[in-house]
Amino acid sequence: MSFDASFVQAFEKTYDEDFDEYMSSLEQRSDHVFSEKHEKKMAKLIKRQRKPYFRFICTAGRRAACIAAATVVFSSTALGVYAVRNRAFDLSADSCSDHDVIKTTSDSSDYPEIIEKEYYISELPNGYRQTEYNKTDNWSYSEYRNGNKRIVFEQCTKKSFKLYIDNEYCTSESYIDTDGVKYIIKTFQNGSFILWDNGEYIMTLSSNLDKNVALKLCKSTKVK
Amino acid sequence: MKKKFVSVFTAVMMLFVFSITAFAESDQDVAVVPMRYSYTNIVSSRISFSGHTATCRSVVEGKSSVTKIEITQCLEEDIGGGWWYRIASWTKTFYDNYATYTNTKSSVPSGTYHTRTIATVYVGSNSECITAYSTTASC
Repeated sequence: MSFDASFVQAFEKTYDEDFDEYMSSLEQRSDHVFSEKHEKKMAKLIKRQRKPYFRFICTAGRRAACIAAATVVFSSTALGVYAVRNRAFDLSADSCSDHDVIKTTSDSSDYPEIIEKEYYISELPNGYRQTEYNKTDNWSYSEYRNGNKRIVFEQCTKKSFKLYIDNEYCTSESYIDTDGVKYIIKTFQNGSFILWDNGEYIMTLSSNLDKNVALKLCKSTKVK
Repeated sequence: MKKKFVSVFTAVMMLFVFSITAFAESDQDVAVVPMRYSYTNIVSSRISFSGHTATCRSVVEGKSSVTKIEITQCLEEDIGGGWWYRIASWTKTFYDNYATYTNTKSSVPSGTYHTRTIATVYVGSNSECITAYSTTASC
């Protein structure tokens, strides 16, 4: 018998013995029991995989895509609502290195083209008297003084409003009241400047007062 | 090993290159850009028409250290191509850190106009000059 044939015969014999031994050990072994914790985790995984939306969130990339799509859909829906869209779009700021240019971007045909309803500050603090008043079709301007203290209230039609404001040496914040009116508050070293859109006109109030006191004056504005 | 060496070598070379670029410019070479809005908080420029009478208004609010505000207010007509023609101008000096300036011009020809406000704001002998434009209005 050649060496090759002898080798094959010996290999087959050894292999058969080892295989038989392995198979018998398998038959004798009892079924493995998983821990309760593992069973619960597996049940949870299987349950999650059976959800109809699982294929949209099964990977991190697909989850991120879903969140992005939901954000776009939500924003589009919100901005489709007239009030929200106009609150969001009416005031825009073009930022330069040292100042912002604030103006309105809305279609002016939706809003009064002239001052039809004139507003005033109904809760003026004691000691202030009006020192200047100027009214045209596009604005109403009132200045009040108390010594070296000053309150300036202006009402503008949306199409005529434009402002250049420092953006380096002031702090900027916004406040939304219970009626949904958003006030943009710029605080300077020597006072505050508050700007808001009441739905028809752009109003501003500039003063040496504390910003919280100034904000109360803004909220006190009424139609004459 | 070779790839690591090449990566580290490239990173170090880039560091040196950027450092050399940063030090290349001396103080004498840097152009001085005038600072604006160091003395000024707000500038606004407005225009309104009643028939053919234009009302121009400028408001300048400076910081508390401001001692003087000089306003040059110009009524300008849009003649196309980005060019504006000055119809009228007024100048006034205010010795305060807050100034409002209103002027009117009657018999304005039909056209599109804006108000240009040129505010020179002083803190002692130092000053800054800011130009603000109103929205446009037609008569």
